Amino acid sequence: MLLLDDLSKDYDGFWALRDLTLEIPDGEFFCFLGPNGAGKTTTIKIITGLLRPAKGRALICGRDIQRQPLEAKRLIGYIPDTPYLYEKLSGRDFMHFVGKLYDMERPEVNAATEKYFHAFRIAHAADNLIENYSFGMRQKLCFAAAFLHRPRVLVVDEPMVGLDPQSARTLKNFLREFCAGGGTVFLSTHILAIAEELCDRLGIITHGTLKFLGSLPELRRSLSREGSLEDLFLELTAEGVTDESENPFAQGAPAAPPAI
Amino acid sequence: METARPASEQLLSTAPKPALTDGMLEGAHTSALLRAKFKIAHNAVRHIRKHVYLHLAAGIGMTLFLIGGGTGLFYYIFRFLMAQDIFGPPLMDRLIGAVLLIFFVMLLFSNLIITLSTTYISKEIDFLMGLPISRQSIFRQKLLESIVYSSWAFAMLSLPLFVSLGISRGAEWYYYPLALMLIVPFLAIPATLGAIVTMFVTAVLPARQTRVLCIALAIISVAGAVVLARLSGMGRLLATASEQDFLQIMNALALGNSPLLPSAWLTNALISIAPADAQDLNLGGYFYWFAMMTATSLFLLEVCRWLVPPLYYRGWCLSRDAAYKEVETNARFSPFRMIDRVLERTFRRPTAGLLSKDLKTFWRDPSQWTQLVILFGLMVIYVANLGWSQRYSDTMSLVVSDWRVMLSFFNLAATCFILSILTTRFVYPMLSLEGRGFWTVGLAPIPRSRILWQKFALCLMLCLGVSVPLTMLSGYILQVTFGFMLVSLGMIALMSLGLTSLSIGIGAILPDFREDNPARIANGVGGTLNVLLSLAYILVSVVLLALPAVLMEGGDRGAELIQRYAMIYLPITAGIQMAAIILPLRLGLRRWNRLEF
Repeated sequence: MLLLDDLSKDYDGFWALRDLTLEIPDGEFFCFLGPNGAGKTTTIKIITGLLRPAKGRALICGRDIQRQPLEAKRLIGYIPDTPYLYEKLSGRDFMHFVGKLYDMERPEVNAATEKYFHAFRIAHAADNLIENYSFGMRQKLCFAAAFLHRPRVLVVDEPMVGLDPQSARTLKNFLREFCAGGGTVFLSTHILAIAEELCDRLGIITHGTLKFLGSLPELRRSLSREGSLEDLFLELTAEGVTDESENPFAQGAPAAPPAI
Repeated sequence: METARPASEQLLSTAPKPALTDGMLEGAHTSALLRAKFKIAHNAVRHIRKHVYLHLAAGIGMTLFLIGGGTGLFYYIFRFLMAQDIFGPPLMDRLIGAVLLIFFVMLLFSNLIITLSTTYISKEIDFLMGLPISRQSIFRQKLLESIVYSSWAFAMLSLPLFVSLGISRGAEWYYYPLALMLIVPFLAIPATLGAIVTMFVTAVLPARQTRVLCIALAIISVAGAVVLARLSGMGRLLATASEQDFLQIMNALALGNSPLLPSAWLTNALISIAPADAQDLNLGGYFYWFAMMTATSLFLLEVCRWLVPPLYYRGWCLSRDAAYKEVETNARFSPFRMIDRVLERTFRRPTAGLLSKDLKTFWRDPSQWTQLVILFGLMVIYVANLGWSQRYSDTMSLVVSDWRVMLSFFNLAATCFILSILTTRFVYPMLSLEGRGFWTVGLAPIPRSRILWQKFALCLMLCLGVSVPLTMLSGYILQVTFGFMLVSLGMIALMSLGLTSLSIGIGAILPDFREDNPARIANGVGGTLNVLLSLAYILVSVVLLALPAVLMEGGDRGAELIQRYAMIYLPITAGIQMAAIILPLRLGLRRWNRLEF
């Protein structure tokens, strides 16, 4: 279970997050939506303990990430949006490194590495240095490492960027199975189709403030209209740019240069 | 039919629109790239919002300390030498030549290493190679960047040397601007030479296989030192200990004034406008040597320009190909598997994981290896100098009365200095090198402080591993007494602890997570602060240790002074050592625990 209680965060006076309160029970797949700069990554970094909140607390299965960081961190798996990894380690080295940080036995790490590397189709590159991995391969390695210690809460930031369709499908299946087994998924994304397909509930945030919390049918009811999640999302997060003269592409998209 | 504009013109708004010659286009590209670099630096300064005055004060303070302290030190030495009527001034000329030769060699190495990482391995090159910019422009911009990174320290160090030379010899006012004018052509020579060597080497050997390159460089440097020593007559002199004569010292130092070396041209230019005797002032000589340096640097620049088309792209591609071939083995008996097993048996699993990661990263990172070459070169110079100093001990005692005592403490200070290079180059960047990948460790269920302590323990072992054998070797060469050897070993162990603590502490307080090249991290603000504080700590510690020994030389009066001030001396010495060891670690731990990512 994940509980965010009155969370706020400022950067030198700029409030990136204001009074965010959320409760996500065990087994729930929660999607966190919002335009760029809305405060999604800040929220995730507070949940994972990489940022300190100015106010409020984040509890992971009842453990405060600031007051009981070690207990709370044992329960979290995190997949960042930009997978910065140790470039001079191989994929297998990285799995062993993470396994040791979580105090796991070598055979257990070996078994999990084989399982996830095959599932995400990076087994062929297991012994290559990470610096030679493509963006998608790095992303897959992050997934494998996040599942390695069998977390109770999975925090995922923009998971599908860089993934090929087959790996994206594998990941979706993994996430569904994870929730079916009682795990909690907190997923932040711009890709509304993923939220539409997978989530039990969703939260929409703009300018650091939660605008909506509930299921997709509840969102439709609250806006009193039918339509895709994209339409509903755009309506809820509209900034009032309706004047065509303000649209830089009103006269059409930029033309390609003439052939040489 | 209308010809389409070149893509480069569309992408770079600075490129003029009408048809341009290749040279004009290259110039426009270089200027655009440099402007972007300038903007980055400008924005970085503008965005220092927090503690802006503290940054400013620290920067000014550091600069003043470095220039002021350096000027004071050089002035003290020069004034002492000028006071020695017959031997002093010519010895001073030779010493300046020798110091500038060491600077030149270090600059050459530094340029080689930084050009390699900046021009071939840097990720920015991947981006730039994809743009419609000529390789000549990319190389030129990167060469300039390398010069700035590898040479700014020399520019800072040369100021005190030049100023103190001018003051000690009562030079005219125009000496100072003329001396400053020499810096740029002098810096351009090792930079372009380094670039030429790098281009040839990388065209044959992939830039990422730098381990091989570093070992080759180390062997070449030792072989070169031996050949040069033989050529200059040093080897012969070292073999004939009985011929202890001042002229032989002058001959031994003559290498620094060899007319083939750019460092000698710089020395000659300086001495032409700041001669020991005012009657020897020779402005014509200055301009001759200035022209020699300028012509050589321009010629080498042109050679670089010729070599870029056939060699640069080839070398860069080779480095990329090699990267993909670098497949790690997971064999049962591979060295890393065995190290892992030992670490797992010795430490708790998370600590073993962190240690294993650091060792693998170090082994596989070319930039770390290139740094090792600098350290190795420094140690070779140091040990060679020790042999020389010991051979000429008796002769030097004629010039400097307490030479033997001074030499023992100089040796200790020099060992500590090498240790400080080690801590600045390898220890200080360790926390910064966690970089943007820190989320992995930051998310793990281990206290952050353990990461810091793990690095501290690893680095302390590394420092002791270098400093203790070096102290024993130097003590053996200098034939110090057993008692002094024990004191030196105790002192060096304490200094290892203090310098490691200082570097880890500053590394935690001023980390640079955006940079992944340790050489550039060490050359940054935090690295410079670390060097200055380390040097200050070494100076204070060695002076405090030397004080009783010097007083003892003074007979009964000295012994009386020691007895009288022992009650003050001991707590001050212990206090300084405790502060150097505990304070940086405490402050570093506090900052490290509060860092956000």
